[in-house]
Amino acid sequence: MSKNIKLMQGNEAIAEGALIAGCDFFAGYPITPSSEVAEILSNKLPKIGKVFLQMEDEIAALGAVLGAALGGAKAITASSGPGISLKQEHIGYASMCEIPCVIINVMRGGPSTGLPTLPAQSDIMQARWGTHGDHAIIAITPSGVNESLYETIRAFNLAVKYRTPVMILTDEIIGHMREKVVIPDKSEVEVIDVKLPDVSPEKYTPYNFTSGKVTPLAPMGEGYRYHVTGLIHGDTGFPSQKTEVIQNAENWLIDKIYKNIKDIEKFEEFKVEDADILIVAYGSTSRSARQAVMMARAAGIKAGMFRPITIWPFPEEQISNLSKKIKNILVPEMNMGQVILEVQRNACGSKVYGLNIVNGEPITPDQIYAKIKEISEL
Amino acid sequence: MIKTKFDYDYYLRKNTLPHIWCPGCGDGIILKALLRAIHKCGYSKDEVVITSGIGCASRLPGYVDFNTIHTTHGRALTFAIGIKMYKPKLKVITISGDGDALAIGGNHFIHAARRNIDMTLIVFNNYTYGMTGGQYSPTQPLDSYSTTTPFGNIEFPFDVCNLAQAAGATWVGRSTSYHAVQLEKFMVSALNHTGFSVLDVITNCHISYGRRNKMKSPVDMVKYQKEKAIAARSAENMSAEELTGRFKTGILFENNDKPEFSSEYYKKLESIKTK
Amino acid sequence: MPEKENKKSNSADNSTATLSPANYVVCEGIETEIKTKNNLTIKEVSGKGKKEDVKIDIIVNYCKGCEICVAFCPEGVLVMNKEVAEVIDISKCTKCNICEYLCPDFSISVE
Repeated sequence: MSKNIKLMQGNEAIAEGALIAGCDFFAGYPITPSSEVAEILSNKLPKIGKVFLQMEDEIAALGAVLGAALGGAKAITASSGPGISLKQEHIGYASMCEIPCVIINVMRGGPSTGLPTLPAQSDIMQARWGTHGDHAIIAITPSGVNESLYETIRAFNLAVKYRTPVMILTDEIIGHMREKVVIPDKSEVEVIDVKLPDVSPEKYTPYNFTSGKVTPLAPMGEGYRYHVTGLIHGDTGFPSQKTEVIQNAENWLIDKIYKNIKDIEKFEEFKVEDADILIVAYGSTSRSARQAVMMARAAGIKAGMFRPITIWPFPEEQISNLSKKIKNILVPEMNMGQVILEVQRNACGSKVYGLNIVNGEPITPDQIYAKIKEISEL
Repeated sequence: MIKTKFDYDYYLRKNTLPHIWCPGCGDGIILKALLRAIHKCGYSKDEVVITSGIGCASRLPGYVDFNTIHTTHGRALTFAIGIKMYKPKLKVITISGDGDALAIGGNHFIHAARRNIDMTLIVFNNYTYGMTGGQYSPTQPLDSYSTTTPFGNIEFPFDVCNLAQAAGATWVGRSTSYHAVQLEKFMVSALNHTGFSVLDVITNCHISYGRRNKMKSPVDMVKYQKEKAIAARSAENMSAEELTGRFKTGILFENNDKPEFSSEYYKKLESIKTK
Repeated sequence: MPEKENKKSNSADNSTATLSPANYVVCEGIETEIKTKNNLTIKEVSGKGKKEDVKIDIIVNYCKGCEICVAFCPEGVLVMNKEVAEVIDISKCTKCNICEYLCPDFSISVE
């Protein structure tokens, strides 16, 4: 079968990946550098009879996504820093009520209005901790246009399977660059669909905090009637203030993700087997890091790269294991030090160095190689 | 003629009563009128979605056996639009307090009206933020007292109905929890209307608002509703002085000609397909 | 008067009011049947109203003693008795249903 190959923009690949995953609802608000996702879906979704909405603000956009998701939609929204800040309450609501959805953050310079047209990687911690209260989140950092498409499909699958919001943390570089994409046919990729539950409506409860398994979300309007609330609730969805119900709910929201980490984690290891210096890099910076590793190897320095693709839950086990063999770790990021905090937390006795360049420009292979060289000479 | 009493139990979730609302709170009266209205309209329980924000009124969905979503403060309409656009055959009703709908939710209020999307918003207007203890709200009358206007309110209140109509809603009405029979009739009319309908229900919170404003019992506040409400038709013949401190009830605005958003959207999809 | 202290019930865990049949007094001379249904205590008074037979039920567990039905009954059929509404004179009842329409708590009904 001949492959369907196209030159695509990163944001376009995300839109395409969403459609392949069965996305049938987009609600969003314009914000640079994510607006192309909205513009493309405003064209493509109506053409297949599905829903596109430009809402009155960022908060409404995620609200509409969650309402549609409760009706059974595979719903997505796209934004950037300031918009993601506005969406925090609803991200928490989606976590608490276990509503599947995909949220694209095309990261740009911050804080505040920051740099609307220039890249950064400064929203990693926000993705994990932005909303109040204890919760877990799944977040993915693709490093290229082709990967953006496939990771969007995976994001939808994870959202439905684990009934959780899933964030894709891309950035202005990947969002706006153009690369070759191999577009799969729907039959070639795994797509997890929204289904009706196996039990009858009388026996159905929308939540189950103690079974250890994710209860499927019954789409509203199909015979399954239940209550959804952001208040702490019991299995029926009705609010509760009983101590054991509260603790069960809090435990479940974390365990649901962290006890299934083996299914959710994804990473790439490049030349780490015999490495003396480990570069932990993600997103667009990992492209420069890969080049820097090759430059280092050519100069006789045994460098390697660990690239998280699922950034949350963080690959603690892998970092911990690698740090037992590799005593020097470098974390280059387009921020003032975010993923480095996770690496430091999990590295057993390794020296962890940061390379934090936040000047609106991508970190270059030369910059990373210079730091590798400096570390190797210590 | 033997009158059979209305079977509220059919529409209530089991074991959720007694509800949390204070003794004499108008919210319970409005809930009952809503159930009678839904029954009169003939909707099945599966086709009704009720969304609400945060506040006393917004606790309503938990008690009723429909598809219910108790959302975030002020944002009930955003969830409502999402599910309505995805499943346009569902009957979507949004319950919101005055603060929820008009302060934090103000932006969504005017845009839902602007779009004229087919759903009904019922504003439980008790002039206060009751759940949080009685702070002033955007509909609180001038010069009245609250926990955050201890010296008297100097802000002008919204007129919910004027605002809804100006923003583009095509059915606008006002009633009170005292006028329970009329309330039920208006709800039927609003629910049957195709387009964005806003029903402003003046109701009583004697605990938060009433007792700070010389109406400390539920009976006092219900009497206030009875005395201060004036039918819009009668108000036409009254002077401005006679109308001071009073509010108009009635179906105040109705327009059945403006296109409705969800059907226009799906019509447009059809036209795209045929191109 | 301890039994009706906590009128406002936090129904998060579905607790019902503390009243039980033993704790309250029925209006003297009014024939009231006390029924129990689904753990609810119901005071029922039947008789001839102004025009026809009428039966008034008051679910004691739900009545929060707001007094709205008593105040707005146009005929004076109802009275408060230990902070629960009660029928005092069923012969005056016209079945206008105002008490039921205005009861916020699903307590009183007229048939």
